[in-house]
Amino acid sequence: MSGRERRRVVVTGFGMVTPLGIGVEPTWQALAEGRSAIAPIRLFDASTYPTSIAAQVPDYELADYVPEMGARDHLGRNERFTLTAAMEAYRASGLPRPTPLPRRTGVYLGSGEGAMDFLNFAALVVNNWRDGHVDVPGFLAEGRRKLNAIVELEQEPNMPAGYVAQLFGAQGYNSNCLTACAASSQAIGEATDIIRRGDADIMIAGGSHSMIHPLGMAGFNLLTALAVGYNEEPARASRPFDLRREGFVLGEGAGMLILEELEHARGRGAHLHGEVLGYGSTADAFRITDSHPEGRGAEAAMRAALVDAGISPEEIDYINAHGTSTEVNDRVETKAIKTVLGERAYRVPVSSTKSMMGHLIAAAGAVETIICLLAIRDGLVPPTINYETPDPACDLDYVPNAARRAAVRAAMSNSFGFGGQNVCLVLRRFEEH
Amino acid sequence: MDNRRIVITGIGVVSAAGIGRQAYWDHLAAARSGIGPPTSLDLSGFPCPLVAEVKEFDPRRLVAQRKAVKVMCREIQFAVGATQLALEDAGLLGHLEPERTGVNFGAGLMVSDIDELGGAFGRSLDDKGRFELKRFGREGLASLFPLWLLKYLPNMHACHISIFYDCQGPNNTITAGDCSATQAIGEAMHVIARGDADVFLAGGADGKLTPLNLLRYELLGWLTHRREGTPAPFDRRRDGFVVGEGAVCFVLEELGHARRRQARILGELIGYGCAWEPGEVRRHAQGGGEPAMRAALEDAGADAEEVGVAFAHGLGLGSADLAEARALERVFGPQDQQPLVTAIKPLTGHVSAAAGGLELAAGCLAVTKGVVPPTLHCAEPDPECHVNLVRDGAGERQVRLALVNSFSFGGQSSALLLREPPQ
Repeated sequence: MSGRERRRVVVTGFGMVTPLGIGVEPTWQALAEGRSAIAPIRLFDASTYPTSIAAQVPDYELADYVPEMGARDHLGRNERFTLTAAMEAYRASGLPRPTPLPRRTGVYLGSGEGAMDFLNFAALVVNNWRDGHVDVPGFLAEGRRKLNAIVELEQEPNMPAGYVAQLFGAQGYNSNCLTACAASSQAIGEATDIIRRGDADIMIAGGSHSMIHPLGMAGFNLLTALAVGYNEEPARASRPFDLRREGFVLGEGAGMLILEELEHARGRGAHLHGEVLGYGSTADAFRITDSHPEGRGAEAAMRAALVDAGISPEEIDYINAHGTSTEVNDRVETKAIKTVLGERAYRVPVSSTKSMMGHLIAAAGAVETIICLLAIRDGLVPPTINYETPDPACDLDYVPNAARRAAVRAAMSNSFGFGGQNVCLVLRRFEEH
Repeated sequence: MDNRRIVITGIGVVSAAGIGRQAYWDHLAAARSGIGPPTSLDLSGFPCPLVAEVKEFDPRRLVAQRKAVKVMCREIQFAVGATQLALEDAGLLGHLEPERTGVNFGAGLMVSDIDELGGAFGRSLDDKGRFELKRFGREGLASLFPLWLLKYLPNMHACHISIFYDCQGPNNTITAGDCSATQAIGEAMHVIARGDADVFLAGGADGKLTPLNLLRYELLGWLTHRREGTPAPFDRRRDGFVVGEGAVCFVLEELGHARRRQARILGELIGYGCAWEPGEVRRHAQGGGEPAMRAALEDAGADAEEVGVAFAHGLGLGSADLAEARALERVFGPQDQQPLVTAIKPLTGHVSAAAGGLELAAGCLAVTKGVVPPTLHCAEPDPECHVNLVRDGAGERQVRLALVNSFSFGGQSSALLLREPPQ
């Protein structure tokens, strides 16, 4: 790092769409009450899948939240979530529309791909199946008649970032990263760096995803990553750090933040929700199927974020854990937190909001980062619900089952992607020095 | 940018126009195209009969952990193979410092092999032979390979690479359409510049020679329907691109690090720009890359006149080429004042998420050997495209600065600026 003073990055607005509600406040209210959004899947007939439950976003009309996009046809679910959350964030920031600094306003999302046009695709494959293979000329010929070009294009993961830029006139930096479950945290971290290095003054950052579709559920079921024993009692299925956890529950949604260079935000009298103080990105470099048993990459990401933030582990008041409710993640994450925080680990509340909203995959980190900022704002730490039977390997304070009052000055948000990409962000209440 | 300088010390290419840096450069210098009819796909009846297919790729030689091949779709294998070649080229194989080495790879939207799904769908039919979700959930699903999903996740390029070569530093995956590789390389530059790593393996991979992807491009009207003399960037008869597959990886290194080990340097990355261009999100960026090119020049503190060659995105697609020609004119001035402009997609095919990386690898040929590959098939230049196109033999000339321009559907645009190796 150079000797000169680093540009500081503050959060001036945020928005979210989650299974617990459309918007920040309904979601935060539900988290404070410890409510679960997990229920039988209604987006498609999953009744015969090993896992037939998920945390789904309640039905709503895009036009009610983003009128100018309401008439757009063929937008994917992830794109509608993106636009809704981005509009909430942007409105909250008080910035005029379009942005007054078009070339200095960028977008960096960690959005997942859209859902396939699955039933049409499956029919196409089945109709052209000959002797153990798809007959390609037949598939192509029928596909040209039956698939829709725009529906296909909208599945591309860079489309949401394009729409956000269009909505707010943001002509600066524009990117999308897709590092599985770490994606939207990574997007916030990289967007922060883009402002710090002077390539933008405002960044709209976050992510969106929905994998609650026939192939997404199939893929995770095949990996035996999902809880399968709670189809009859969905609200109990996601139980991070509990001894009887058996996998994650798929969620969906979006989280979006307005990041701004401090002087710019202050100059326009914006409300400062907190500062993005530290970002760490590492790789486990171990296996694509398992995290490193000692949590090597997770530990390194937390350390890197603390070093970047320039604060000691003693200053962390809350950790929003990755806490997926899989046997391995929760055990390894606990271990890594203890390695990084030492004795402090036992005095810091660590909770997994995935216990209530499931795992939003690419969108998880951004929503959880916003939750850290809400904890800072309200002095309230959301709980880990379904915590009933302690696991000897998980012996931290997981804020069991009920939210808790606690002064939070600095918080940490962990996100660890499938395949070993790890991101940690450190957020802090805004302070002059 | 900070005073840490970033150089390229290794290049690995897996493409229809050659595997390995030297083979690729030989193809470019000889203007030998990798485009032709497919050998692995039956495209009879399909309006676009051409592809740029990677031939003679041997995963047994290029994928270090052979048993991992079964969890890798074709483009992941390409990405890992390109990385192996890049590390060999840089002389760094086995000499990476794990915590100081990062990975950033560009990736495309990956789709499952249809034969693989077809078997499972076949077990999911109702009495009338129609696909039924209930049966898929009950029977079909379980017949799929348990790690099926992992074969098609875009972040797996970067994950496998980090595992094989023990790269524990910063790790990212960019999915920004046709800008993916360009951005992955640009961001890797910045991570080294800010001091979070000394070495990066950065690039991109794509494998869109699958029936579903070809179908998508055809439905969108982006593919050429001609059989010869195509794709034809900036030509008045251009009618679309040819889909290519492949991967490219660069070893990026902080200059001091490279010098201490007396590495051979193939170019210095001095500028990166990225922007979004206003307009319809469903079309290719309508500003043709202008704001990103300007941002890259500004980032480097370079003047447009210093650029010796611009590698155009040059899709060979009507409005995209026109927008790019206008952007080049606005950035560099009228045709007779422009640097050499060339488009190499008639040689490589359009390898979406790897495209900018393939062009940067061509840029390294230009700044180290003074060879600028020509743009094939521009026999009748579009009178509306005022570009100083290199249309014939790749004569040698001194090139100090090369620019790579990329832009995408979705509206993203990105550019890189490359300088000759420092003395």
